[in-house]
Amino acid sequence: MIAALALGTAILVSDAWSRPAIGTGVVYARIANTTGTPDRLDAARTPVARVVEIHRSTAGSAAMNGMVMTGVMSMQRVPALTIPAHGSVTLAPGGYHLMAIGLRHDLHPGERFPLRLHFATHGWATVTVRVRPI
Amino acid sequence: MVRSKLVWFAAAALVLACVGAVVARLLLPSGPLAPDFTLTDQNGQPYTLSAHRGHAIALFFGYAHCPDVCPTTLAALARAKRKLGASAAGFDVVLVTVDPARDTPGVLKRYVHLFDPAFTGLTGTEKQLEPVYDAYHVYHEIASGKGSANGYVVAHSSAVQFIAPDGRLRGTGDWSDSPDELATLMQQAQS
Repeated sequence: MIAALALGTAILVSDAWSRPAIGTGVVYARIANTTGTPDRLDAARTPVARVVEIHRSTAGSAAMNGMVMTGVMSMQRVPALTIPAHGSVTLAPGGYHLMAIGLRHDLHPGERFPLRLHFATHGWATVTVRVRPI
Repeated sequence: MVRSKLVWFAAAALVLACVGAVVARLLLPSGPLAPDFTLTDQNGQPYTLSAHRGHAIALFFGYAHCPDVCPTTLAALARAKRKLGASAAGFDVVLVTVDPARDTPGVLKRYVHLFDPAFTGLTGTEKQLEPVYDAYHVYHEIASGKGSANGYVVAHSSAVQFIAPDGRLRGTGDWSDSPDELATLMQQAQS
């Protein structure tokens, strides 16, 4: 699904989607910067959640019972995400994503909700997020 | 004449396929018995793994406040099961929580049922869960949610373990596998 653009065509946000969730949800999207200067995604808001944060999942390893285990997934909060000049960033499973914390209702497959993204240079953009059906 | 040749060819192909399946089964014997446990399911009822012999099972560990990797795994398993259709009707997908403080049976029921109403979510006391994590080599660590409104997150092993109807471990996958890859693992666990 292609949806939404920010302030003219400087920053393009497309394919914003989510998963079924209770309590804490996710948003993935592709963010493209068509200008010659980098911009930064530094905030997001949605009426369906109390707070939206930028997080990154990483795969690592950990020691357990004398063995080293790989495939240990963890998440870290990221304060902002740089969108390079004439480049794009894709928020996708297992990497960068938006975490929608304190969901006001369970997110069901097929439902849609609005999301506002704030870019340091280009200001606010509103997109429609679709909860991808199973 | 052509027709009878075709019939012979089809018969030979069938025999070869059967021999191949038997050889593959011998080359890929089942693993050790999946460690048994009793936990509490999403309806508040006891769930004992060994009581589910006769069903193939995909077992993985996660939690409801996990927005990225866990729903990715659940969605892929739900799609894999749907792809296989009726042949996977008896296949059980079981999520064991790594966050028992937040994942009550009621929370797990709401969560897993968003993906497939037949999925199972298990929780328990830490005393019940720790030996299960140990037995399945599941690393888990509560990471302080410093600077995040999510409270805390749980770093955890992302493997999906496949158990055959005879109760033996049959394969592993993980959150990054496609529905097609997970469907193949499901079929192997059922064979």
